[in-house]
Amino acid sequence: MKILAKLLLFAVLFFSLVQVVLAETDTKYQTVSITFSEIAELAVSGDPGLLTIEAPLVPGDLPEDESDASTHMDWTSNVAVGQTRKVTGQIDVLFSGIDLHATVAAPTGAGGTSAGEKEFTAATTDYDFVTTIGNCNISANTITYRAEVTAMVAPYTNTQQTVTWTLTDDV
Amino acid sequence: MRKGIRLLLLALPLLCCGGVCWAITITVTGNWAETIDASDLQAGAGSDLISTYESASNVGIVDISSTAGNWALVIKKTDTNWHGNFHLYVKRTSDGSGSGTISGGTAYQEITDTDQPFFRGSSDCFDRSNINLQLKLEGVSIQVPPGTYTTKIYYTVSDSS
Repeated sequence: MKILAKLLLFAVLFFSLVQVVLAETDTKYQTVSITFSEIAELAVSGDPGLLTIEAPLVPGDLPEDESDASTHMDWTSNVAVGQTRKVTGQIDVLFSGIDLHATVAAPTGAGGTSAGEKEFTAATTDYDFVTTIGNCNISANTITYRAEVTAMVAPYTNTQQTVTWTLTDDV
Repeated sequence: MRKGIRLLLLALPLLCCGGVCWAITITVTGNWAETIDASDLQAGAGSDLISTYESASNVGIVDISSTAGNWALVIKKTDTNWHGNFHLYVKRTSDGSGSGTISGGTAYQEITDTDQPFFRGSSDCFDRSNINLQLKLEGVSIQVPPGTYTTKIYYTVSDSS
């Protein structure tokens, strides 16, 4: 009988303790995961105006340079820590008798560093116009084209070449 | 002695039954996975990202069982890899079903690293299930480097009676 009493006492104490443990709290969790993708988006506002080379004011001189600053470039970029991007420009075919130069205006903050005016000296070759681009969004950044006559050639009209702008990893 | 044994025999079933009731439990179903990419730019190239994102209104479903009178739910988060610009919010979008009452938590509140009251209820030895939760993320911008950011939201229910 004493053994039975001890067993019962033990059982009561056990279940009482179990109650204390179970009665307090319960915790569960859910996980929130945000995948933040790399973003490299670039756009230009359109084609520049027609660059018309006119006769020089002084006979014997080459025609004066012609410029256009009517277009702009926008870009949004984020990169992993320690990495940067750059904007490159490439012309498909060189103009006859004309050197084409371009400038992408200096952006602000982490928007990068402008290389100033660069000349497209060779076709299908990338030239760096803005470097060290970090995490940024840059809008309405002016592009200036300058046509420099280097030699007198036979007149031609409405000759179009394509300049391709690219936002790419700065390696 | 026999009287004592009889008392113990009487008490044992009561305590056992009481134990089942008092073992309050919570179940949370669902996780939130959000992908932010170029399609989330406000206006294409040159613009920043949309800063606020909301989950589905039932991204989390909570079941609470075996309550013993008044109960309360607190929440906190523990970051695995979280960005300092991010702010995470939660709100309750449904009362669920079951007996008793439920109150609070219907407006977004920020989840911090320490337990904060979320919502509470009252029900004696019954369950309340299918309580829907919605999450909101603020502070997203292009300044955040690419990567996967993870945090865990802990829901702790306790008897408060």
